Amino acid sequence: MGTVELERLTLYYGKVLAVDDLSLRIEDKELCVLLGPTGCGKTSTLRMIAGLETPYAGKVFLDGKVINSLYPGDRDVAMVFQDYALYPHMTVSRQFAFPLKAKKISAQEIGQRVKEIADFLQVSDLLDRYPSELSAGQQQRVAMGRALIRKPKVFLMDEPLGQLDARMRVQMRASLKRMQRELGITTIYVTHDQVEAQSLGDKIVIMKLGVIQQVGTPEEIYNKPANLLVAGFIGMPSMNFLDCSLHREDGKLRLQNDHFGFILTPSLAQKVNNIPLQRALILGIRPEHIRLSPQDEPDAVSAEVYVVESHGNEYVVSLNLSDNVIKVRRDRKKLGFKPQVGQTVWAKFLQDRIHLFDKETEVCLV
Amino acid sequence: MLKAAWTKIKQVLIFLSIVVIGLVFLLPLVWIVMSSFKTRVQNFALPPLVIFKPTLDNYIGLFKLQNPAFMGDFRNSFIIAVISTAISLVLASLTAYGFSRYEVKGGGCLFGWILSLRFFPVVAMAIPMYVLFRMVGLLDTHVALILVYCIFNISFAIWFLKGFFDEIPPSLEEAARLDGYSPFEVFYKVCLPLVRPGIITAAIFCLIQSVNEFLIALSLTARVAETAPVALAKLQTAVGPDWGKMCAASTVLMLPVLIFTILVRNELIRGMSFGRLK
Repeated sequence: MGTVELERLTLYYGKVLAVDDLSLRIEDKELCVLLGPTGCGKTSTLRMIAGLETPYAGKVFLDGKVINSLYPGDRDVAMVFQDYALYPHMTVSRQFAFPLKAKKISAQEIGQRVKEIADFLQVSDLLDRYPSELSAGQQQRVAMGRALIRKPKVFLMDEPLGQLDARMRVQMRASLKRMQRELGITTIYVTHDQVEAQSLGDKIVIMKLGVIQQVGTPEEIYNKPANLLVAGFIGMPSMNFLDCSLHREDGKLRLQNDHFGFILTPSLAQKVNNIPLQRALILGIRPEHIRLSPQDEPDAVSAEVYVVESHGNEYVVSLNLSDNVIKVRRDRKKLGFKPQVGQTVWAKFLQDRIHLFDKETEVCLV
Repeated sequence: MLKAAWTKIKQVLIFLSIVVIGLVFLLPLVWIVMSSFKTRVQNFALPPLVIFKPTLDNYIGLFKLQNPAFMGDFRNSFIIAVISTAISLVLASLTAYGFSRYEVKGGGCLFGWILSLRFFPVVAMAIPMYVLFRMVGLLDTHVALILVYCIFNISFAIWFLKGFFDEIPPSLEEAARLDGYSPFEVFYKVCLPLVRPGIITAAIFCLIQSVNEFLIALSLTARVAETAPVALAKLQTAVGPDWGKMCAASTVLMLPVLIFTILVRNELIRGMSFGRLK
C-alpha cells in the first residue's frame, strides 16, 4: 500500500512562503504529477514528502501514519533527483547495492536484486562502469534503479527527464508510464513541462506560488480548467485569451469587444445565464477550436494572417486581431487552403468550446 | 604566413623559458644530491665539480653518527610528522565538512580566525611555548612537537579541505540520506571518498611542513625528541660545516615525502577525474 496524504503543509524559505497550506491526497498506485512554473512550490512539496525539508506546519501521512518525525531513510520513500545524484566514485553495481547495504540485507540477496533491477532497466552490461562513463539516458536509468531497488512504497521523481534531449524525453515518457503501471508503485512526479504531465499523469496537480490551482485528470484539466492560469498553462500552443463582455442586442446575447463581436448559440447562451451584462470577461479559446475560412461567414471575426508555421501535417497560423495575436491550429487537409501572410481570413470560434473567465478573479465561469 | 611563423616562435620561446625556470628551481636540489656524494675536498673545489668520482662515505658516516644521533633524529622527525598529520587530517576533515555544510553563527569570523593560526609568526611563539611546555613537564617529548605541529596542520587542512567539500553537490548527500544512511555515514561513505585528492594533497603539505620545521623543534627538544632539521644544524665541526654530511642528511630527509608523493601520484590524478561530476 502507498497512499500519501498531505495535510495543510506550509513551508518557508527564510521569509519567503514556498508552500501555502497545501492539502492533497494521492491514492495507492497512482501516478500524480505536480505541475507548475518555476518557483511554484512543487519541488518543495516533494522534498517535504521525502523528509529533506521540515514543514513549518502541517502533516505528511503515509498509509495513514504521520511520518513527519521520521528520517528520510526510514520513510520507505525513494527519490530520483533532477541531476541524478549518482555517486561518482562507485560503479553502477555498487550504486545499486549501496541502499541495500544500509538495511543490512545479505550479500546474496543484494547480488540477486542488483541483477534483477539491471535486467529490468536494461543496464546489465553497464554494471562495471562509473557514472562519468555513462550517457545521460543511462545515468537516468541507473538513478531510477537505485531508487527502485529498495522496493519503496512511494517513488518520487524531480524533473527526471529534464537533462535529456527532446527525442529521448519522448521515449522515456512512454517507458516510464509503462514501468509505473507494471510495478504498481505510487509515484509523485514533478515537472514544469505540461506535455509531459498530460502524457504521464493519472492525476495532475497544478500549482502556483505554493497554492494548488486545480487537481484533476488530464482530460478534466484540459476541458474544464478552473482558472486563467490553468487554462493558459495547459495546451500547446496555449489557449488564446481575448478581453470582452456580454451585451444584449435585439434580444440576442452577444460577446463583443471593440474589435469583434458575435452572437451566442442557444447552448452557450444558456451557460452564461448567471453572468451580469457588461462585466469584464476574458474569452478563452484553444487554437484547435477555431475554424478559418478565406471568405466572410456569419459570426466570424476578420483578422490578418501574421505568421504561418508548418508542424508536420498541421498549420499553426498566428492571426493579428487588431493588437491581439491569436493562434489557430488545424490539420492541413481540413483547412482546405494555405493562408498567406498578410491575407485577411475569417475566424469562427467553436462556441461549445469557449471558456469565459471573470477578468478580475480569473476564475472560470463557463 | 608571418603570423604562423610568429606563433611558432612564441611557442618555442615559452617552452624554453619554462625549461630554464624549471632548471633554476631544480638546480639547488640537484646540487645538494650531487654534493652528498663528494668528499670534503671535492666539495671545496673551484670551479665546482660536475664530473667526479662519487663516494658513499658521507652516508655511512651519517648512519654511524652519535652526536647528533642523526638516524634517531630522522626517525623522530618521521614519527612526529606522520602522527601530527594523521590527527590533523581526521580533525580537520570533520571540521571542514562542518563549515561547508552547516551554517555556524559567526562562522565566517571563526573560519578566518582558524586560518590566521596558519600564518602566525612562529618566532613569537617560541619562548611562550617553551615556558608552557616546561610547566606541564612536556619538554623534550614527541607529544610536545606533535601538539604544536597540529596547530599549523589543522588550520591549514581545514581551510584547504573546505573548498573540496564545497564542490560536492548537496543532492548526493540527500540521496544517501534517503538510502538510509545517518549523517556520519554519509560523511564517511560518500563525502570522504570524494575529497580524497584533497586529503592526500593536504597530507603531503602537512608532512612537508612538519618535517621541515626548525624553530619550535629547536626550542622544545634536547636529546630524546630531537628532530632532523635540528640535527642538520648541528652538523658543524670545529672547522666549519661538514658539507658532505649536510647534503647527505638533506637528501635523506627529502626522500620519504618524495617517495610518498610519487606513490600517491596516481591517486591524485585518478581522484581528480572522479571529482569531475557532470
